[in-house]
Amino acid sequence: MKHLSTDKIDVHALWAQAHHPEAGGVVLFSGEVRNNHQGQEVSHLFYEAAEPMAEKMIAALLAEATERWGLQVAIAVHRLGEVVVMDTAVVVITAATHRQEAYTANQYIIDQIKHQVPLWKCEHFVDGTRAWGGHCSCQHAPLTNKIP
Amino acid sequence: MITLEFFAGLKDYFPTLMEVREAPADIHHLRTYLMSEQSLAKALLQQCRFAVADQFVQEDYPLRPGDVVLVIPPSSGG
Repeated sequence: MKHLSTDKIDVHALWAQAHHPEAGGVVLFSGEVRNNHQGQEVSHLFYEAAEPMAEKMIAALLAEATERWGLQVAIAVHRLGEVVVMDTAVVVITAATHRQEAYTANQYIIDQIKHQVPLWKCEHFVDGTRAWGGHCSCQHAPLTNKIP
Repeated sequence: MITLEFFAGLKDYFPTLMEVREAPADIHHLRTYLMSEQSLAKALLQQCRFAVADQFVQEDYPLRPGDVVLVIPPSSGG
């Protein structure tokens, strides 16, 4: 499976692949584009990646999480290019014997994707400005890199 | 000569691909060279990681002719 996609992510199709007879807990996280950031109206996001490296890192991350938490299923797909408000930018699905492992692994995978994998978002605002980075609850820094 | 590849916000300061004829000795010297080339990008360059052959490398990684170096700003996926 490819982990980066310029096409709209079909969440339901991924969900259909996420079930396993030994899995009692399946967690799906969908990271979606919201229409505001620090009080400013967002029109859309644009994502880019160091693609071969990001593909390898996500594959390695899923393998690591599978081993660490004994997952039956581990799926992650991230959008590239323009993503509009309410569209899914990233999906992570984890299935494990019990819910705790599925939740913990899922959060680990999305945190690593956000902070370690060479992937970047550019926020485009309704007023025509744009800014790289941000839009993460882990980072509360004010927007200082806006470009007209 | 080495080739540099820039991403995201760095492309406001550098071309996507840039060749450096005289390769700096290591990543530390490459970072210093880039900050001298584009002082406006200094703060961003200080936060960047570097990768060669799709693997992150440390400050003392020795650069060799023919290396393709990815200059990686802080990640912001998701």
